[in-house]
Amino acid sequence: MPSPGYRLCVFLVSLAAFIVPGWRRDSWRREWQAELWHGFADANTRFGSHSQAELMRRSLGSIRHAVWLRARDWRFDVLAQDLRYAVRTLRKTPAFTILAIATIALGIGANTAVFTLVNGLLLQPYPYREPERLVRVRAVDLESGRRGNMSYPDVEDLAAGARMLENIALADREPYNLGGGGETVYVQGGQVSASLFDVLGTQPLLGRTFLAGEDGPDAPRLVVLGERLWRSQFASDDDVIGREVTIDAEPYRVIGVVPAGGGYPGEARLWVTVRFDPAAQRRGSRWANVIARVNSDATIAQAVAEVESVASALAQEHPDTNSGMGMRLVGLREERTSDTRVASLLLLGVVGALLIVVCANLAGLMLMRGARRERELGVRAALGATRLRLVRQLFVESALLGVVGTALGFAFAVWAVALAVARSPVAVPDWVNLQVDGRVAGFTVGAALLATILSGLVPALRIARSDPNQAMKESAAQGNGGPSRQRGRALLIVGQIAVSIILLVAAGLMIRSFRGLSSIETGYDTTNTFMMTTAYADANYAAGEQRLDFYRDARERLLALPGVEAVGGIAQPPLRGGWSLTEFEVDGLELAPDDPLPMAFLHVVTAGYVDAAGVSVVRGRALVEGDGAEEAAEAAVVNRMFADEYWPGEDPLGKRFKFTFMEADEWISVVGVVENTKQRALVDEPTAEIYYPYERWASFYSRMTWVVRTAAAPGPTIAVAQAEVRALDNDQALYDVMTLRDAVNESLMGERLTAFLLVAFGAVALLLTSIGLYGFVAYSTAQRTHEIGIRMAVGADAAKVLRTVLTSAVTLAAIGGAIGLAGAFAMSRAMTGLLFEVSPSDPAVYVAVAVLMAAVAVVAGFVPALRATRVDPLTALRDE
Amino acid sequence: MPAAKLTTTTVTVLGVVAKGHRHGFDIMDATGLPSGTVYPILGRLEDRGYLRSSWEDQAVAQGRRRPPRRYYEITPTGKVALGEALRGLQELQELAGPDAAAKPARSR
Repeated sequence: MPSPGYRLCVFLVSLAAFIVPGWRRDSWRREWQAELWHGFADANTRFGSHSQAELMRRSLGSIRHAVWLRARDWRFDVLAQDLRYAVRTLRKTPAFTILAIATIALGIGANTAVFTLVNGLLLQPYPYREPERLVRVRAVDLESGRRGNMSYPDVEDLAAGARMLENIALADREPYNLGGGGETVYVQGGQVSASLFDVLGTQPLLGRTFLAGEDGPDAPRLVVLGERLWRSQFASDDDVIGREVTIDAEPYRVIGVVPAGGGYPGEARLWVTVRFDPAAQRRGSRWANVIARVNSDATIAQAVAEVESVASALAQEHPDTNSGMGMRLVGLREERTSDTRVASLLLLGVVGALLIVVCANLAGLMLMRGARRERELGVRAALGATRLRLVRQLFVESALLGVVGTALGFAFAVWAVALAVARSPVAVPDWVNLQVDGRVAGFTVGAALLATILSGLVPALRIARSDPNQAMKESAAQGNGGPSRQRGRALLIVGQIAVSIILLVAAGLMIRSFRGLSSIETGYDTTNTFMMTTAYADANYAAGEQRLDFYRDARERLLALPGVEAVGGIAQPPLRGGWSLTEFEVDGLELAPDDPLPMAFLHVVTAGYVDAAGVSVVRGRALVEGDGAEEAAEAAVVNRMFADEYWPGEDPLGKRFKFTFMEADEWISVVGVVENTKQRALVDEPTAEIYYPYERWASFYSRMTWVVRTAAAPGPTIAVAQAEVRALDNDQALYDVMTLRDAVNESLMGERLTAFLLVAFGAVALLLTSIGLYGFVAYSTAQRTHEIGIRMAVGADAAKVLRTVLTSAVTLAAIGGAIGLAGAFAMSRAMTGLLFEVSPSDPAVYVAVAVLMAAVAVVAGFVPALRATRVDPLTALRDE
Repeated sequence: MPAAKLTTTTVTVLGVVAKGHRHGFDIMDATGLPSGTVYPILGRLEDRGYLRSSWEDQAVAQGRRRPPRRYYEITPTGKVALGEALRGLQELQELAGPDAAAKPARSR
């Protein structure tokens, strides 16, 4: 007497039964059907306790029950059983497991580290409000295209004339001595107009930022601290607001703290307002670094056009100073990243290439392993394992490898980023956030997933597709795939070789370039010299006299130290990022009206500098004590380039020139000629240089870098020298203490790092590729043991077998190598900007890489080939 | 099996099985809980070893011309766990005071 209700419920239960895991489906269905049977049987009696509706509701619960069982089954099954099995099988082949995990870790680690760097520099948004609207305004010489700073009157006219600029701020980098408790520290700061933080749209962490009117000569002395300085120097103290600190020995009051990266310039750790008198500013004096925010209702292009029209109006109004001068807007972001963009993109490309090699290598490993396990899987399939089950098993295995490898890779990445920051040649700008963030984590997981799916799932599916009966029947020797599978693996090897070749070529080019850079003549003798910089506090040495005394005393004290041979000071030390290019006029040299004035690097130095830095004197003498005395005749030293250019074939001694920016028109006599040196960068062409006595301009230069030459290694003297200067005046910050050699090396740090990374990546790729190639040859040789045995039995000699096996390795290498070399030739053009005196198609590099790869192929093929020749024909044949 | 904390619902199910409600729908009747809740709890209690299940004797069922049911019964470990859980509930009741006293679980 089955009722329709009963039938409906039973139907529902039998549908739900499909969800239930197979191994308990039958008993589950029986249990539910029995309950329903009884329920309905009772319902039809007078004493029935259930309505049909209630029974219907209960039968719906069977779906939940079934889903619960399935979920539990998967949980238990996958995570316990598959995982246990995976661990067991992976442990049985430690070589494979270690290799696979190391491969993943290396690929993921390198990826994450470089992505973190690129992300920090290129992708990450600034903490400013609408950063894409922030621009830097630059004066531009329309003829030469050279960009420079602006004059204050031009800035005022720009602010008045450009409607589309919402707000304008001055923001110059300026180093300060920060005191007030303990040792005086040297801090990069920003000297800015009160509008700066409004332009940036930065909200303070604590307190406030500057208000309108808090700049200019009569403004109160207020300072805004950057978060990092606040944390390091003020112990993250909330009570810092209102506290007095000394900046260049003047008392300042702390009014606020801004978050890291919220200020400008990026290197600044504190900000004070500009204190100049606007009325005293001349239009010809271009010193101001200007940033502006473009109105939100204007496009950047409109603003650019408007600023250009303001500039041309100014050029007509003030032809004496502004003719030929324009203004340009440069996006802040472009400005900041243009230096590193090429290198960062190159590294990203390199990392991508390594990832390809990693995936190919993994896929090769997994395919090989999969082939070897075909019989095992066939047996399992025959015993009732579903294909889904087998695929899942293999997926769990590769996922396990992926997870362990990724975790190791992540740790490796964090370490590498920390190392890169610690070793960075320049202070990492404040706005760069090098935390490994969510996006980087996402990238890593994505890459890991890709690697896992590529390497694990594809072979797994392939195995699942194969016929288990066939797999079982095949002998171990034949069971590792037919020719198509062999071809797939060969293709992977060829791809790896090609990509490795491209990486190696890039690395080779970078090494050549770097070696070229390292062998550049700097003009200095860097052995046994060190330098240190003192920055004086304005208030203590306001008068040039006192400052001169301080430096004279310091030099004498340093000279008196045992083991010191020479001491000299220079206002802007070489290769440390500071330099002055100055215009000058040569006595007797007529310039055509259109010719630009000659330019030279200006070295403002004390007596003894040339000796201390080891710059050789070519003619005459170096500057000596007394050359800078007020009553002495104007004297200077020039470099060989200067003399050759302006007095070719003549005796330069006694010849005269003068600086065009000086009001005084006294000629300066050349008393000596020295060798050319590098001031700005090692790659600079030799340029005219002028050495001029510091004493004459003592009031212009706020810092002095002492170069000290010692008789022996300078190590022990460095500490003594610092103590000596501190003893003289402890309010002066001392910083940048290093040997001259380190300074030269540091100037190459960027190139060194790029070269190092490329070489490291190339080496890793080569290593992985050679392992892959070795594995491929070894494996295919092992598969052919039977065939080789027959060949040897019918008379093939060892040499022939060796040749056959070796040929397969070399053929693969040759195909991959040819593709790789062609690819490298096409792609290396992108590196042109990074290379110094090396052509991107430098034949030596290509030949060297080709030879290296050929050698690796021969070695990788030789070992298994040799093993093949030792095959005993009898054993090989019996093995069948 | 570590004695993890049992939820009130789980204790209720364990309790009615101990009282002699032996099969799925009967347990639902006794507790008033829906089938989608009761069955997973039964499964979990079985996994823990607090319950065991067996099929009704085939011959008996066939003799009465009906399908055999699956019967659940409490194990000795289950009894211990139930006792502990009930004591815990009692303590809770005492702590909360007579005013707040409510039946810890619904029973028939």
